[in-house]
Amino acid sequence: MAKSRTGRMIDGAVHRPRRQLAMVFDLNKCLGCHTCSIACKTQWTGDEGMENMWWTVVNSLPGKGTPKDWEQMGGGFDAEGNAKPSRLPSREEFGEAWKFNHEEVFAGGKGSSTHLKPNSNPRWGPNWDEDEGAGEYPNSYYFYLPRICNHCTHPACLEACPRDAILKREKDGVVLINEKNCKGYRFCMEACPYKRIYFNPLKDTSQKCIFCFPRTEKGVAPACARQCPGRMRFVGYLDDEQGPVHKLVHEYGVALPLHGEYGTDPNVFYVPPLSPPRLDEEGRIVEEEPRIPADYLRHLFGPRVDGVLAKLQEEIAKKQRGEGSELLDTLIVYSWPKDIFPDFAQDPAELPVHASGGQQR
Amino acid sequence: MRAHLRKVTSSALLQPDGEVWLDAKTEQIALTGVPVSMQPTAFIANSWTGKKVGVVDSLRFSALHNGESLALRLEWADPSEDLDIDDNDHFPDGAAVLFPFAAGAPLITMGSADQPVNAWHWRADRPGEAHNNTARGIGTTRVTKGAEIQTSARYEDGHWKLVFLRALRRDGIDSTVQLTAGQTTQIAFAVWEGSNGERGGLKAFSPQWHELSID
Repeated sequence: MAKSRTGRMIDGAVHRPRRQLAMVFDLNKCLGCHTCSIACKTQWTGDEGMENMWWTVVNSLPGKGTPKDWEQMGGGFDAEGNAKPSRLPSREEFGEAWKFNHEEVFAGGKGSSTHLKPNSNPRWGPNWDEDEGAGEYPNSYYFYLPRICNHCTHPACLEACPRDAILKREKDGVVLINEKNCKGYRFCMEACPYKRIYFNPLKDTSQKCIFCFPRTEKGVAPACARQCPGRMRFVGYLDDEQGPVHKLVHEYGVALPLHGEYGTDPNVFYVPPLSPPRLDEEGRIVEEEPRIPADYLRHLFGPRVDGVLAKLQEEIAKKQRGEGSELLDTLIVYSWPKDIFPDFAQDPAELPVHASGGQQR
Repeated sequence: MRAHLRKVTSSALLQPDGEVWLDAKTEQIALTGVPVSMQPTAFIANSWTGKKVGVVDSLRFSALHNGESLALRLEWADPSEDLDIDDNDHFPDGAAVLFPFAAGAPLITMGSADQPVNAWHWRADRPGEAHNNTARGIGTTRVTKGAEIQTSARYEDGHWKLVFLRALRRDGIDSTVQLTAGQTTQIAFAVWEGSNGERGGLKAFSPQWHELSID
């Protein structure tokens, strides 16, 4: 059976799709509200066996993330392109979907003697270290990092699967698990260096973010992007020179991959977070030292991050001087939705409802 | 191995500890780990270099039939009973028998495009029925319905005892091998040790076909 070529390294070159859908997350606009996570959960992961799945999560950084300590697990490719071993994250490291004592509190007559709490005694969960961050007062700091499947140009999951059950679509680069071919071996989950693949024990298959392809095929933005109150998720084709994604990644060069050294060439890009200056021991502002240490941002976004932050500062200064800044205008998103996902501005509520059930999941 | 005829019910054959098996001939089948170099992706090969693949090194095999159904009994030593896929790093114990649809199908590659093979696959988390798979090469197994392969397994004293039971003929089902009394076919074996993370091609297998004659 011929394997699909897209996304595979063949004779030393990765076979790229015709077009690539991508997202840019402007971390300076993320509120940490988790509306993206809820939008995705409501749309896709409500079935039995999917209770603990959060195809999009928002982690507080610095922090251990979801799953816990995923950055230390392994996977991806080394500098020579060799697949790197990893370990499998456990359900507890992802965080279980806890059951709560709703019945006891709301109907069991104990509303004033006990409080709402999980029935289990969890030691970790999604966003367990929410808003903790790092640093000592008054120089403590944190920022939010939303994460989804990166729909990588060279997906480690796709290369790891022995059953050709993962495909990268030629038309838009979206990476999908074909559940008919998947036998639940979990090599993909292990190989993904971002640990964005979940295992469904009821279906015995792996599952993950699908870039809301049934929506994008109708011109509707992915649920996480359309519902984002901070309007920080840009969506578009990387080769669309008029679109904000292309401009932010390639023209202005201010959106960077997360852990590009993992070698999978991810297609989610981040505008790195600016931070207020540090205060010295006397409480004086140290202008040249941002509160989020540059080393930490380099660890996440690579060596280009210093230049990006400097460029953002310059553009802000230009705007403050009353000069124009196309870059800042792009990031601001004056007109939603056309300025943030111009090709996916369709309102899903205005799509015709099909006789087969239409807009249901 | 000869599968002798016993005038007993199919449910008697299905009991791994049933009396009918006490005097059944057994054959020791040597198993070997699928070599890392044969693992189908670089990720799997790189992850398992230097690790033992296929920790179960042998099994004891017996076969009987009652004129209607064929029963295959496998027993092997396994210090841990791995029954579930409740966590991401839990893999269940498993075993399979493999038949060629026609003599000469390649075993090492799990068949080929022109010479498919048929695997009856039991997993400890799926008691009762084995999956009927057809394969035309590594990574191509497809589960199909209609073969109706029953299983009964017992874990006791560090051993798995497993019986596969299937009607000799499954008329109208072309995704599983048809068997008849008087026939000699070929059979091969595989065992997955769940506690070692074995799944897919990470398994112990019998590297040659064994003869199976049905009396």
